[in-house]
Parts: sequence; C-alpha cells; structure tokens
Amino acid sequence: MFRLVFVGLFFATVFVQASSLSTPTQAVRSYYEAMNHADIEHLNQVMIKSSFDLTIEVWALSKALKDKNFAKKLKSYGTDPKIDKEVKEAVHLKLLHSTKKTVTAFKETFLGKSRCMVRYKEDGKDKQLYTSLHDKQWKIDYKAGRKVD
Amino acid sequence: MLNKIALAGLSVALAATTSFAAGNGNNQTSTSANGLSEEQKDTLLFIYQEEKVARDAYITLGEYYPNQNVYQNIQVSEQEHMDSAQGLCETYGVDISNVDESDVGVFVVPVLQELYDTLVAQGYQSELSGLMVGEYIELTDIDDLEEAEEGMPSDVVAVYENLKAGSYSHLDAFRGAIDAYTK
Repeated sequence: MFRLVFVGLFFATVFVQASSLSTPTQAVRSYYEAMNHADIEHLNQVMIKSSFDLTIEVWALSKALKDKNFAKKLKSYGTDPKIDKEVKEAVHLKLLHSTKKTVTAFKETFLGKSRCMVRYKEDGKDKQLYTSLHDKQWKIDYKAGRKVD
Repeated sequence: MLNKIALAGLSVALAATTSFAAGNGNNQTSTSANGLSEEQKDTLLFIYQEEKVARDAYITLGEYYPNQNVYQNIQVSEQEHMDSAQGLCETYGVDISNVDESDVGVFVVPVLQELYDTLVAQGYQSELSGLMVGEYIELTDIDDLEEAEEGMPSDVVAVYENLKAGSYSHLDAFRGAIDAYTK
C-alpha cells in the first residue's frame, strides 16, 4: 500500500512538472512561481542552462558589488560545485527578501515551431520572455528572441 | 562572467562577423547562407539588448551626478557600440523590432531590468560608488575580452584588442575620476 502511494506521488510530481512547461505561457508562469518562492531548483528546471546561469549571475551581482570576496567567488561560478552552491544560496536569500511579482495578460507570439515570445504584464508593466521547445517542454531561453524554422 | 551579461557584447558580435569574413567561425558547420550561424544570430540579438544596459546605466548615473563628466564622455562611446550592434543585426537580417530602446532604464526582459537596477542602485549609493560601478563594468569587459580571445584567429584577436583598448581608456577615465574624488 505504501509503495503504491509512493509510486502515485512520484508520477503526480512528474506530471505536474511536465505539465507546468506544456505551453510557453506555462513556462513563464513557472518562472515567476520559482522566483517568487525563491526556489532555485525549480528555476533551474524551467530555464535552459545558459539562461539559468545568467539569471543566477545577475541576481548575485548586487552582493558581489558590496563584497569583494563574494565577487571573486561569483567570477568562478560554474567551475566549482561548492562555489555554485554558495552563489545560489545568496540568490535564494535575495529572492526571499524581494517583492513578489504578479503576472497577467499573457500573449504568445510564435517565432517558428520551436520558439515563442510571451508578452505579459508584470505588476502592470510590459514584459516579455522568450521560450524554446525541448523534449515537449517549453523553457525560458533568453536567446530565443529571433524567428527560426 | 559578465560576457554573458553585457559589456563585451559588441566584441563578440564583431568576432562573429570577422570569423565569417575569415571563414573560420566556431559554428562554421551550421553557418547559414547569409553568413552567420543561427546561434551567432541569436547572440547578436541578445547582445543588442544587452548593450542598452551599459549605455542606460551611464546615462542614468551621468544625470544623477551631473558634475562627473566621465559618464557623458563614455556614454557617447557606448551609444556607438549599441549602434554598431544594431548595424550588425540589420546587416545579417536579425529582426530587432521586438526590442524597444526608446526609454532609458526600461527593459522588457526581466533579467536585463534586474541587471540595470542593480548597477544603478549601487551607483546611487555615493558618487564614489557610481565611479566604482563604471570601473567594475570596464574591468569585467576587459576580462571577458581576454577570455574570448583564446583560440580565435588573428583577425578576431585584432578586433578584440581594439575593443580592449577602448575599455582600458574608459577604465583609465574612471580610475582618474576615482583618484580625483578620493584625494
């Protein structure tokens, strides 16, 4: 019985994760959920690697500008798992104390079969994010702003 | 690290162009009919958006500290970088119509807004902090260019060296202003 419940929960989790990226708009929603909950691992799942790394580096920059030791570590981000963990923890803390954002009014513009620009309002301001398709999942991809295929 | 973020952006774009001209690009196998690989074109568009961050940061800090001429002087150079990036996009058929550069300090892509806000917030701390933000931007630019030079053909390296010379000039200007401020 316990095993059945465990298996059920596992598949439910997989389904939720997959379905949350089933459309470009869902990917953007998931991105904001991750940011609003300071959930770095979730953020990692909804973005392609290069965009995720860029996000981490930018959000860590404010600490680096105030702390020379941390600036050195940030410069080595991506080369040492211990440093990566520390940088991500700093970003987690920053996000925890950041204002939560509300996103509405999504509009998808496809830039080919595997890319989509999502325009929306973030606390009333115009924003846009680019997404690309990976194994049937839409992910945030900062460099997917150009029409292809 | 900031080469992914911004300020050496133009150099990467120029490198992409020069690589094509030399027939020796990193993505030669996927190079398209009109000269750049798809990846290089994607990079061009992102670079164009990133260039605006540095330009706008210098414009904003220049307005906040009107007595600091260093921002005004470097703004002109940053605008030229941005114009060059736009020119490259146009040359290689990269559509930039989804990017609005009209409002200083306003970015539709959240990560670029965060980057700009972070640089400006730090610069607002004090006049000295503002100058140190400029120094940080230029130092990062130089580091990124040096990193990007590795493995590149000589003509690309020559372009990088020219851009690096520009960054060194900006760095000297910021350091001169920092020295003058702290004396």
